Amino acid sequence: MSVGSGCIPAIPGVAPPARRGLLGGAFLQVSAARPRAGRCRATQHGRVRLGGRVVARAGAAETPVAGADEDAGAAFSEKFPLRRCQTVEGKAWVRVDAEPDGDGKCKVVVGCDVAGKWILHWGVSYDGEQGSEWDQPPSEMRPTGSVPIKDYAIETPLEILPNSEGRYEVQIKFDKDTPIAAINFVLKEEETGAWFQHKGRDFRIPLSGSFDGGVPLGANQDIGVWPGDLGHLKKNQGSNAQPQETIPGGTGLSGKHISGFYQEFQIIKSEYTQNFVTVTVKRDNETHKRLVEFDTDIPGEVVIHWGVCRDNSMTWEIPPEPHPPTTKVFRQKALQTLLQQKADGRGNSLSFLLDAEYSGLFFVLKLDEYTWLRNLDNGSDFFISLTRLEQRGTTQDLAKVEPQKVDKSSQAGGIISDIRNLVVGLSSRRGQRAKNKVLQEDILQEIERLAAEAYSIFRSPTIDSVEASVDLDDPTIAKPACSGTGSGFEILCQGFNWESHKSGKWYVELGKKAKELSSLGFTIVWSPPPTDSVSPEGYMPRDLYNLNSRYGTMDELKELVKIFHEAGIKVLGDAVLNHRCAQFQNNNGVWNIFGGRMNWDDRAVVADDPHFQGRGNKSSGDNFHAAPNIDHSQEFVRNDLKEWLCWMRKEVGYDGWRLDFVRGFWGGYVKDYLEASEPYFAVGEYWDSLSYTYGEMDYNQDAHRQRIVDWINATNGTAGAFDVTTKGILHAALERSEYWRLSDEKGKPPGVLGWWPSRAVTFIENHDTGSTQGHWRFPYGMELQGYAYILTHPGTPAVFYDHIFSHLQPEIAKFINIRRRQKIHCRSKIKILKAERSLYAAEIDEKLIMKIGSEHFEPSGPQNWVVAAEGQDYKIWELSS
Amino acid sequence: MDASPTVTLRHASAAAWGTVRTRHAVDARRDAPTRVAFRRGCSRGDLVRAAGLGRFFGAGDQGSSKSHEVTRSQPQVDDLAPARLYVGLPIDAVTDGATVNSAAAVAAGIRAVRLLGADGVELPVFWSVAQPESPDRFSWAGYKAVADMVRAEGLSLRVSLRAHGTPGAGVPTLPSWVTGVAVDDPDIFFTDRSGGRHDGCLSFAIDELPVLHGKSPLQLYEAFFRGFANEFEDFFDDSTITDVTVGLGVHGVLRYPSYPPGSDARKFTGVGEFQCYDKYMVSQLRRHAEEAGHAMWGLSGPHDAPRYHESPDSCGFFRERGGSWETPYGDFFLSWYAGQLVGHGDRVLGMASAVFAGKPVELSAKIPFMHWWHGELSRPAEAAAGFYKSNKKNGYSPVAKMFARHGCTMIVPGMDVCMNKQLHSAGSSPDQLLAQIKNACRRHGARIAGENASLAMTHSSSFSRIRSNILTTELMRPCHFTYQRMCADFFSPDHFPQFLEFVRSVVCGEWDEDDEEQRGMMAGSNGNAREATKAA
Repeated sequence: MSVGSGCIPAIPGVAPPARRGLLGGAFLQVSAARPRAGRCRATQHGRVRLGGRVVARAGAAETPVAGADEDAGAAFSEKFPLRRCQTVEGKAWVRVDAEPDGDGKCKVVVGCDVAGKWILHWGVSYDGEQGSEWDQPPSEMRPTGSVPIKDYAIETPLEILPNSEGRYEVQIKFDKDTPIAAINFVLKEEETGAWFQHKGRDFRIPLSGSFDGGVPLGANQDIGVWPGDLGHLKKNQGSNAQPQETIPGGTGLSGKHISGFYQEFQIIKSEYTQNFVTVTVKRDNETHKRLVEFDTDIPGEVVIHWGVCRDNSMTWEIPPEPHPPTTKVFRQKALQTLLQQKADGRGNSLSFLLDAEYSGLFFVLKLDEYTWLRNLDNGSDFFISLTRLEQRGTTQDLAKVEPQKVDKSSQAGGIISDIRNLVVGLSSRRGQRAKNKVLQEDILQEIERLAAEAYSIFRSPTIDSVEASVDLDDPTIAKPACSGTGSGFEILCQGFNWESHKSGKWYVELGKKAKELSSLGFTIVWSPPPTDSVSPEGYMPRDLYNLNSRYGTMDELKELVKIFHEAGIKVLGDAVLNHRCAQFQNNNGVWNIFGGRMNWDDRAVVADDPHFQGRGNKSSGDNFHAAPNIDHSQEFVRNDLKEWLCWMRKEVGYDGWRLDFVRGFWGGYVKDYLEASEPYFAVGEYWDSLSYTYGEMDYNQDAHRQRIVDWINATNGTAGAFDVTTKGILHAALERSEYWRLSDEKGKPPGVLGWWPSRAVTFIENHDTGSTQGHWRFPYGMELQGYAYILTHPGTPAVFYDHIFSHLQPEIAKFINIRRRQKIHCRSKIKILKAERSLYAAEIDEKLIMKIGSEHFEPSGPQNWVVAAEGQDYKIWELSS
Repeated sequence: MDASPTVTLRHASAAAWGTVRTRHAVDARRDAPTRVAFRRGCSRGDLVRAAGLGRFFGAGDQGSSKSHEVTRSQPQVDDLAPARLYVGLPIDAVTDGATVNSAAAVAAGIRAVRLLGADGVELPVFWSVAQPESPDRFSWAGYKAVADMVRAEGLSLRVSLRAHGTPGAGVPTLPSWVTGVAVDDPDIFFTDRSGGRHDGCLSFAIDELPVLHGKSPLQLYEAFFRGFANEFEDFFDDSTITDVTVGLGVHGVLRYPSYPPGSDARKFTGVGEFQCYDKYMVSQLRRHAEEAGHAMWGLSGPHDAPRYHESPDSCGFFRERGGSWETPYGDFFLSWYAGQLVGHGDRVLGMASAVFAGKPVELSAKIPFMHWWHGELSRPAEAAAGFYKSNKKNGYSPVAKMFARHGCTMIVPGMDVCMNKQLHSAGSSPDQLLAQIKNACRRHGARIAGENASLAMTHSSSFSRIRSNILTTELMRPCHFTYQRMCADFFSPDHFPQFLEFVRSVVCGEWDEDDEEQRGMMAGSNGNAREATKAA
């Protein structure tokens, strides 16, 4: 029998040797999250990594480091995870028993002696087939436990042989006269997921071997071919490896002849093992030097390849002698110090003193000539800032420092100091210009970001008029109900989503929910736009007096309103007043002639709408570009609209309005319409973009809320407005864990809610922002935090249909219940207790406390607060009576 | 002088720095002729400061220590110690004593300053904010909060202690309990010829008169300064506060309020009027005239002086040829008028240097930068503001001498003022004025520092002007420069990018390869220039 042998390097586990100098290590991804323009701003969570700091903190936080408690003030410790590639050498073998056994079967045996969960992944090739296509073997060939993979391979586990000291084998039996030409396989180790191939190809065992007599091709191989006890058979590695060349070879297949052979391969199995190295720096009180201690759980010889730097120059240098014992100087550039085996044999450690003048220490671990372990976090050298001793100082103890969560906010301070140190350090180095450029950019970005933040806060618009309104909002003064506020205790339900028109029977369907909505505590439902419309959703109205729409017929609508009224819920109609689609074209073929009962012509269209050749006056607001914008400055238009609204109040029974796109015309006209139609409640959609500077959402959104408040002011307070500002700020606060955004500079809520709560209709989602449109979707999974906010705060909260009828319903019902129980109303007094990185807490009307955010919070004070609701990152307490 | 702790600290930091610059600073301070211990150009002990302006000079400074030894006997005015760069915090950062306005923005601004690599920030501290209600109670919390932010960022802090508020700062110019006195005695305020009063601006003549609830303004200033010194002791101890700027008059500037009452001093570029008509000033003038033997001269101010906005030639007093200013009377009056100013400065600075003696800070005070009408022989605008010396000599000389006596750095707030046509028509000459101020300081051994008059919004040339004033000047280079000041416009996209460029160009010279070369050249030329100076 011929015996072949080959070396199979399975996983290259060798890292390139460490370079000198840290610049590789000073790798820096600077945050500068620059969300894209547009309403929906995806926020990338920027993360800055520098050296090993980030990972170090994480690691240290998980595992308190022994020894750190001795002198907590004067020591710190960093623990770095290491990934070490451990190799196990062994062999695999392939044996072909050509002599039939008792059942007349020949067999192929594949085995190996390395521990693991070995799988033979194999297939066969038939005679006369060229190429390397596999086929599945006939079922009688498959050993028990085989699993077919797709339609061309089989996976069969190797089984450990009894009394074999860890030898695994699998046997494949076949008939001597099988038509199968060869068995192809690779070995797979399931635990590491490693595949073992043969020189990058499949192993191939020819079953229809050539006759003896050929010159062993293995002669030119680096591994000898050994004749086995079946000496008359020849096999060599070469023919294994390139069977395509040998099998169809000139010797021909004059007769089926199974060659028995045995071949061994060297197998190197690589495993990654998790280890740690802990670096502890203490201040040595006697010598005023620093005691640096390395501790790792890697067994065997471990060398640290290290250097120091001054003034954070990030330039490697060698400290003067004496060096620690067993230290070699490596090319005058670094020191290599052999760590000492720990007494218990589980790893190595070493400690030595360093002069206090050094500000940093670099190191890489070296296991052998080819194995260097570097910082997993960034693939570069480890860096320990020795100045941290001073910075963290003797006042802070380790316990306080370590458990910092690794998120970007908490790092910001450190990062900046790191960046700063790097600037100093790096800028002093020549030859690192390119790196410096990158760094500069990062620093400049950070500076820009800070400037933008400062700018947005300083650029505070005048809010005098608003503060006057807030005073008007004094809850101690009894307020008559007005259409801007309703009763003051209203809770709104948006009764549709973007898909509601699809059934054609929405009014009927919604009507069935009336009882449920009522029992949940809603007082107002906002129904979809009812008119004849070019678009099925209803927001492109055409004939305003035709109330048959994709949501249902006019009669169904009337019935719906009746049902809701019976359930004690007011109904808002969605009135689209800004634009109206024309029925007819003018002489130029432009669609600007209206039909129906309001048969306006192009005089009703604003003059500055470029697409519709209006002959009216200029628009008093922004233009909606898809349809002719109505010129509200024309008296006949206003009269017609007033008449229409009154008709809807009377005919349909609507109690009030949700006014679409009120940005498009002056709020003063809205006041006109509301005074004419005398609604119970009205709310306008004034939606424009929040303020962003240099791509970051500004902390100060006063300009944004000012625009909304200005609009409400123009309506003379006869309408509320959706608090888009609050929604936007909630997005940023929740998504990025920046809960400090939820308090403005004066300690009030930062949205319209903070300035004119009674007119703020708070919401977190609607048919545009969410539903199937998703123009500006609320942070996923944080909806309950959002509702915990708006349903406990002043203002009039609106809940989106999709949220009510979802898994969120029980919690939302709970919130509404609390709101009603505690009689929170649109002018309730709010006191913000906390607005921090990951915590916002507020007290409302001195009878309810809520918090959102991951940080722990408990109400304090003599009162007895009881938990009323609690969930992921939110909690609500109420005063127990 | 309790200087030894400071020296120790310095050595500690020298070890950390290991730079020539620091050692140089130590040497410099050893025989600093000042009464207040001061430190310069270096950072707090263990913190490695980012490249300041000093870093820019640091390279050129090598080997200059020796040459410096030679001139050591001279006052420290030509000290080539590196200039420090400060940025002014918002004027209204603290307006009610207990809170920081726009705290997040202030914090962001401070952090940005740190990233920019500047040395520190300047914080105006107003008397009316710190002691708003009564002479018995101080409220420092707001200022402390800001100082904490600065310390947390590891920056230096220059505090400007201002007895008089600034319009636009959102604070009263004086504490209300002081202003209340004026109801009964309106003459405590500066008064012009027509009886117009500068509400909130205490006359120099009452400095030592117990007219404010039984105390003199000087005593109250001292209580304010001492209150600050005690309250911020640990900020002095850890050298967060490196500079104390003493406000010597309205807007923190040593001058008469020669502009029209109620107007914005910063926008006024007229000649102005003499402010010597409150009863206390008039009585001092009378006494002075009697002593001088010209009792008639002391009855009132000059009768022929121009009105605020009139041209100097419109009336007799400041007329270029044959004006009253050249007459013995004119000299008598102007000398007395200027002397009152210097006397006031002397009193307040003397008190301040006593209060801050032993603290490791540099004392400074601000003078006006009145470049308009500087082309006139009579220097009318400066004379009306109190800067005059007989015989057409340097009007800044008496002030510089007084500053030097107290070891006080003179802050010149016009490093950005460029010549332009508009100003030229009003006889403006910023270059000459700066040279004149420098000459005065050089003669008397007072150091100077710089500020900008306004945000460099309109002229980007302002930045290059600043650069040349603080970097390339050979003699009397400012020892620090403060860019005034953070506000909405400062951070606006119209301004901030330019400012960023400016700072990069002066602070982080080595950021770019090009700059690196430039720096080399600059250092070389500096060295040569210095050699040349010595030879001369």
